[in-house]
Amino acid sequence: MSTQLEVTYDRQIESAVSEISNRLQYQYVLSKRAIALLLLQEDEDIIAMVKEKETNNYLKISRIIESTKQKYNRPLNYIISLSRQKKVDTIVEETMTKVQGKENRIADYLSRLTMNPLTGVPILLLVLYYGLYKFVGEFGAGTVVDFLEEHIFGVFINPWVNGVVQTYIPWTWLQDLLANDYGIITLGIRYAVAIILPIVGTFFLMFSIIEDSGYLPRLAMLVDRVFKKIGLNGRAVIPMTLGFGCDTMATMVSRTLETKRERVIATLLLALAIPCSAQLGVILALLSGAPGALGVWLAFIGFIFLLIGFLTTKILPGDKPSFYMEVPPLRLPKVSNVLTKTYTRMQWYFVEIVPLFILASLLIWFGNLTGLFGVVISWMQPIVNFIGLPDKAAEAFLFGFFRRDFGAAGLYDLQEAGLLSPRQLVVAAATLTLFVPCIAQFSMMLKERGVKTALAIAGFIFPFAFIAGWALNWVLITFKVLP
Amino acid sequence: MNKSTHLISLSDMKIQQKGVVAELVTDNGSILRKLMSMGILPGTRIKLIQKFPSYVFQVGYTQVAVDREIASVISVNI
Repeated sequence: MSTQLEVTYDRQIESAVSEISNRLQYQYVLSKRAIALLLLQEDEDIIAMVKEKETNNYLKISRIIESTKQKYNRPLNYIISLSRQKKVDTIVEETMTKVQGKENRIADYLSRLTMNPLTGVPILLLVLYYGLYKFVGEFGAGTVVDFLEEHIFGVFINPWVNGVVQTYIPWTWLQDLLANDYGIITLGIRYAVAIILPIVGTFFLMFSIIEDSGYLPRLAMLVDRVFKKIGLNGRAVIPMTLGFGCDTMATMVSRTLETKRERVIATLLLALAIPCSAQLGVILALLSGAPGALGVWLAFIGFIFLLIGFLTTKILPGDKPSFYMEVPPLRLPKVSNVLTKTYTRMQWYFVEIVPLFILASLLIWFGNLTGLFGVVISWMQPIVNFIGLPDKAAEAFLFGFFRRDFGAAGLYDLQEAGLLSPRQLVVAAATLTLFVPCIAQFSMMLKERGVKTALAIAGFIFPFAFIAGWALNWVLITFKVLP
Repeated sequence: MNKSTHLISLSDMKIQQKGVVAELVTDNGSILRKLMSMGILPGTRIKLIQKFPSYVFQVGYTQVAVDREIASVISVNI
């Protein structure tokens, strides 16, 4: 059985509440008392609702609110909360007993280690190394992808599909649509299942474990000061880390940031300098062959991330971000929760993203068939030459727009053919990382930030990526960093 | 003045120092709302745990991390 819990406020608030209640003429889902209290606390949604329903009557109500506000030197919201807190304290006193010595010592100790910068930063590096590099990079993007790509698709599915298509379909254009180099099944589905699924799956699994352990708020408090410099607050680590999995999903999650300014900065940085797991996987594989290449790439992308964040903060008007976050106790994640979360995220990913893969295959097929791609590639050749890359790299950049990892995978082929020096490889990988977001991310930017902001961001990134690539190439040549 | 209690801002407290929240000194409605939503109100016991890189403190059964701007708003009776 439930009983109504009544909190009695001080005389002035109570008299305002009854005055407002008497004035309210319409029936609301909430009681009139509740509506009156919410009005006094200046709840925006309730004010808008009451304004609409009570029309002329609202003017009198707002006068009551104003005169009540005058009687206090603090916001009414604060005054009302104080009375509630008193009530809560009495209830807690009566009903709760605390058992001494029940605290989890190990969790407390670990919690302090993760929050102290001296130990917290090394712990972060360990998490990144084992979680991201070893588990997602080497295991997900390496072992599992190799198995699915080379064995399942390379040996069984693709040859079978190509064979079937060749036997039963007489037209080459239709054959190419379904199979061969750019077909929906042999390219689109293969990419989705054999490359993206293992990378994104291992990433989401690791992310869910970290999320459920309570580590993210600790990371947020650790990086808050750095993030403030780039116009964000510590809370933004959540969309930023998620971006390493899928920038499209991270762009959507950035709506949880408090101010519009923070949301715009986060969207820009995600689109510019955070490579998604699919792209990261291919880039790691690509650069790990040349000594020093990975380090140069990492330093360059990190530098651009901070530089653009810093400059955007100077240019973009708006309130300064503020940081507050509850730090939950560290917990051992529950296997069932982790698996459910991973599953839900992968399901979202598949439903949202796979159709776009198929669309990308279709567009690439169409572009090849009509010769349109040849034209665009010929336009892009001078641009890639400008940053010190051979003509052939233009194709990789064009495909990079359809899928970030398509582009990186295109570079893979160039490297296999021995067409790129380590320096060119780094410049190409870095430019591709900065270069426009994939179609899926761009459509999410349109949806979340609006046409104007999304176009402005893309319009900035496109030339910037190539100028930054050119500068990197120049620095590497001048200081003879890489051959 | 009372024998041992005096008011200081949370940002001036020492690590492990305990006190009782006396007042939230700001007109910024958004900061007030944030603090109130986490149960930080006059009368609650508070213990500072860490100051750098962010302020971390214990209120009731929860730990909260805030930046310097918010920490300086919380006035504590120690």
